[in-house]
Amino acid sequence: MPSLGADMVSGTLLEWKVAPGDRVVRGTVVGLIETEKATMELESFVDGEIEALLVEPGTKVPVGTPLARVRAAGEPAAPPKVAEPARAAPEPVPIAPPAPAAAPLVPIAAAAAQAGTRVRSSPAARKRARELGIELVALHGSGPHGAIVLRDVVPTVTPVQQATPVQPAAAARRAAPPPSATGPARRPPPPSASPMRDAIAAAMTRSKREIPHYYLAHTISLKRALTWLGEVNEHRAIQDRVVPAVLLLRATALALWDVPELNGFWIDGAYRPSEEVHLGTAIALRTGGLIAPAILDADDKSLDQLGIELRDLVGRARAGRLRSSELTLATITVTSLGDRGCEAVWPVINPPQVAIVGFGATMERAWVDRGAVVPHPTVVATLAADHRVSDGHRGGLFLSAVDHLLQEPDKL
Amino acid sequence: MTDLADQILATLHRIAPDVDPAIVDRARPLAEQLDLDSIDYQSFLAALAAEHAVDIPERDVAGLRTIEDLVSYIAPRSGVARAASPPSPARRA
Repeated sequence: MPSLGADMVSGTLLEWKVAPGDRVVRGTVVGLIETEKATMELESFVDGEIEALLVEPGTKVPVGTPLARVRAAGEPAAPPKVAEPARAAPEPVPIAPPAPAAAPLVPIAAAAAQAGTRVRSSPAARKRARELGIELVALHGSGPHGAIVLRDVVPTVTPVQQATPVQPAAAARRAAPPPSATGPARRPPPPSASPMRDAIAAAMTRSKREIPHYYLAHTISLKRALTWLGEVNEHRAIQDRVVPAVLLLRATALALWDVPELNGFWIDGAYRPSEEVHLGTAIALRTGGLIAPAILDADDKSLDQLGIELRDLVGRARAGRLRSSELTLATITVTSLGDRGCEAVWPVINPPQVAIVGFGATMERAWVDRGAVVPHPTVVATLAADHRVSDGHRGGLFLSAVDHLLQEPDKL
Repeated sequence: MTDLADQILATLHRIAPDVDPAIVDRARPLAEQLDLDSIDYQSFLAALAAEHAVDIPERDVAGLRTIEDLVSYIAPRSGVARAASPPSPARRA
C-alpha cells in the first residue's frame, strides 16, 4: 500500500484489475484503492509480471503493506512463499538499502513492488528509518524521482511497528502533536467522523508547524484575458471551449520559469528544485474536504491540452478515479476559489512543496485604465511560499509574471 | 420512457456522481444549488450538447442555469426530446 500523501496512514484495496501472470509496465492500473481522501487507481511502479496478489479486495491495510508481488522483467521467478521477511527470502529484485536486522519487516512484496528501480533514499532517511524500524522499501518517496527522504519516514504504520523497539527521542520528534507521553508506540487513531478531515488536519498542521510561510497578493485585471477568451470560445463547440481557470493555470506554470525556486520540494533540510512543473490543482469535493491531483508537465502543455486535462482530472476526482501518481508528484499547487467564492485566499503550503498559488473569485472592480476609472473583471492572485527557500522579492516577481502573462493572453 | 428533464438529471449525475438527482430543485440555478464549479458545468453542458445533438453557443450559456432553462432550451432544438416539462418544484420523480 503506497503512501499517497504525507497524511496517509492506511488504505483499502477495493478491487484488482490484474491477475497473476499478467504483464504490467510502470503506470499500468492494477487495482483500485480507497484512502481517507479518495478512491483512486493504483498504478504499478515497475515493469514486470504479477506473481501474486497478496491482499483480498475489501481489506484495509496500513501503508507499507505489500499488495502484490511483481517479478521484474528478466528476473527469475520468486519462490512461492510471499510473506517472508525481506532479509530471509531470496530477493527477486534488487532491494536497497537492506532492512535493518531488528526491523519487523514489511514483507518482500513491498520490495518487489518497487522492483526494477532501486530505492533511492537520503542518508538522513536511512538513519531515521533504522531508528524507527521502518523498511524504506515500504515507503513512498516524495523526493526527486521518487527518492525516499527524511520527510517520508514517519512512524505511522501501526501494526508493523507496535512490536518494534523504537528510540523514544526519535519517535517523539516525529510524533504528531501533542507529543505523547507514553512513548513511541503509535496506536491507530480513534475512529473519526471524518477521515478526510483528519487527513487534511495532519498535513496542514505539519505545514504550519514546519514551514515559515510568507504571503503576497496582487490584483490582476482580467479584461484582456477574458475578452480574448470570449473571442476564442465564440467559434468553438462547447466541449472545446477554454474556461478562465485554465488561463490562470497556464499563466502560473509559465511564470514559474521566471521564478523557478517556487517549484520543488523542501526535503531533509534542503531545497530540491524540480525540473518539471507538475501543477497540483486543488479540487473541492462536495462530499467534504479537497484533493489536489497534479497536471503533469503543465508548462509543456497548450491551453487546449490543459483544458482537456483539467476536465478529465475534475471528472475523475468526482468519480474516484484519480491515479496514484497524480496524487504524489505535484511540485506546486494552485487553488482557485471559483466564480462563487470570495475575493482572495491565503492558502497553506502542501508539504513538501514550497509554494502554493491562490486565485480568488473573478470580480468586477473599479480599475484605472489609461487615466480613466472603468470596470474591469479582476482577480486577486496570492502566493504563500516557504521562506527557507525564497523571499518576498522573488515571490513578488512571480505574481508580476503571472500578471504580465495574463495581459498577453494570445501568447499563452 | 423518461422525460427530458430526467435525461438531463441523469447526465448531471454522471458528471457529478456525488449529486443526488432526486434532491435537485428544477427551478433553482444548478451551480449554486449543487456547488458545481466551472469545470463541472462545462462538462455537463458539453455532455448535454453531445447527447441531444444541440449546439450551445457561448452567448447562450449564461442563460442556462436551471433544469427548467435546459429543458426549454434543448426541447425545441433536439429531435430526441419530448415536450418540455412544465415548470415545477423539486422532487418530481
